[in-house]
Amino acid sequence: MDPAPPAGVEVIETTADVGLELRGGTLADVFLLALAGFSYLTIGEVVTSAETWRDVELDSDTIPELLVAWLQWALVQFDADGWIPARAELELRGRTLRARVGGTQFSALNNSVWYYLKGVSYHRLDVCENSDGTCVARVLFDV
Amino acid sequence: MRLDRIDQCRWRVPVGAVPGMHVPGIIYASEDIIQQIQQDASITQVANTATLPGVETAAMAMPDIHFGYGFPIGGVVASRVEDGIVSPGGVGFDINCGVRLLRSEITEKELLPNLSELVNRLFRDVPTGVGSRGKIRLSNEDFHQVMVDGSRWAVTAGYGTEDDLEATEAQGKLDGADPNLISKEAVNRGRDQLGTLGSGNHFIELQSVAEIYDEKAAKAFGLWQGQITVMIHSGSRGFGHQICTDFLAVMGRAASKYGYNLPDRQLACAPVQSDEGRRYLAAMAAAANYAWANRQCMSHWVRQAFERHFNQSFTSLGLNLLYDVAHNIVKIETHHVGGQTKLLAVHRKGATRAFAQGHPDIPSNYRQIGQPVLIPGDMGRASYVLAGTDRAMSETFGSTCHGAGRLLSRAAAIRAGRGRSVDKELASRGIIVRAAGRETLLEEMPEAYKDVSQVVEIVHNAGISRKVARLRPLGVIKG
Repeated sequence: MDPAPPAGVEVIETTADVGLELRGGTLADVFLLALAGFSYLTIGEVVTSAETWRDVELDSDTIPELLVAWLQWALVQFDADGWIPARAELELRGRTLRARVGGTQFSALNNSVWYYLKGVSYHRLDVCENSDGTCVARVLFDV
Repeated sequence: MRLDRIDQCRWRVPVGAVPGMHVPGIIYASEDIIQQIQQDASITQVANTATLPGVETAAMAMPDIHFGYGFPIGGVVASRVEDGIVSPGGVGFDINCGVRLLRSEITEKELLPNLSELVNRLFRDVPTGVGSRGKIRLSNEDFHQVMVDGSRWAVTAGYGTEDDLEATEAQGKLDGADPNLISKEAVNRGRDQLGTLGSGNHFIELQSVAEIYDEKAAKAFGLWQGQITVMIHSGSRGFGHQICTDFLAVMGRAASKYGYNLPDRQLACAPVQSDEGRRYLAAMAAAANYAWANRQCMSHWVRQAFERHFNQSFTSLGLNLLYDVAHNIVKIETHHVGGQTKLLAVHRKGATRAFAQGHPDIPSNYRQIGQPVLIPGDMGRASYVLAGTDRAMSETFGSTCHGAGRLLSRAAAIRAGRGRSVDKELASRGIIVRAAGRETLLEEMPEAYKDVSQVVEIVHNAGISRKVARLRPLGVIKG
């Protein structure tokens, strides 16, 4: 794609699929980058416009599984409603996430899809919190 | 990883290649193809699937194998119902992704003068990529019936004929689907997507029968040289993807509950006869039924497009369904293994059922030949019609390959094709393509795939299916 991915987001490849490597100052940053990376993979652009807002609350047994659930939530919003997340106000407590997510409606007239992401996989899933508080995560999608 | 060559077409991954293997891995491949396969981690994935509880005889891989999540794409794993497992990863995200082939009484000569017009009509009339919604608005009651009845719902609603059901694997319906197990997210994703193609490698292709290898089988399948056929490749769309996602989470917890030490989280599974296993099979059946209804509805749009193009009814054009096969599914089947009859959960993830002549699950008009097997290739080379064999029954639980198999990642294909005009290159070879996605043609260009003819040659020489006809692409619709 021509536009570069958001800072802190790297697109990684497998034979048939695609993924994200995310580097943030905090764990919460990585979750926000994941959202930006999802939208970037989906329409090949950095999405900034938040026209409507949606609330979400998720919890999981582990932080990596919480990341999967977060991205899966975003994926469902797009696939069911054509709604693309742009940014979020996010609160992480333990393995619970609460967020207010702003997004915009996908329009086939104005946008085209880069990767149609079918699902979020657990393959090579990793979230690593460093001693200085920075965080690196890797997640792969099924295309 | 150590590989022992068995013969010209088969390689063994010996027990012990990874810790905990119960059975060996068997890979169907030539010398050339095995070198391609070794470029990713798929052989390790074959070995990993051989560690699953209750796996019978061998974990198998077809020559179109490539890296998948947990299970490789192109894998066949049969697990004993008695003491084995069922795994969503052994089916994949796109439950009952599959292929159907419509034959016709139209000749290539009759179609070619107005080929691009028909391709454009199909591209307009069949909803394709992401962002387009289907033409069908399902009420809650209708959605329930789609899940339970599959293709039968579509035919009853006017999207096909009784003959279509007979020409569909499992008559387009798996028993035991339970709509009560389906999440609201899955319903929301699936509600407006019935009768839509989807994106990526899904396609509708106008083809010409280029070569007949087996006259008797071709005659039984209604195929002749120069004939126009239509191939549809699609699956259960977001509905099936969400059911896979939902049950990957369920099975992750189940694997811990049952004490499974799995080498890969995507191999998450539960005993076939456990509550989790039964629930997955019932939910997967709903997705499989949705996929069959999906392909059935698209067949209806295709027939309508032909009717408008030729100004004749589809029946007078002979646009009849030859067959429809699933290539991402797990089915409970009876097989004869080592002199015993065993009930098995046969996972085919990127593999096609290939039952031999005489099998009662084959439509009566094909029963003396063997089950039709439909193998799509890339959009520039060929697709194939094969027939199932006795050897498939005895070696691979009645299974064969499913397609060409990717060679390049999507991004690598885009890089390799940058600056090229794939549509013009194909047009110069007489192939008209239309795609909804902006990078689809580069991602799906022929060089991104193995040569399907090589793949088919291996399964033919190995005897796990036999060549009937080669189909040449003329017009391709991509999502």
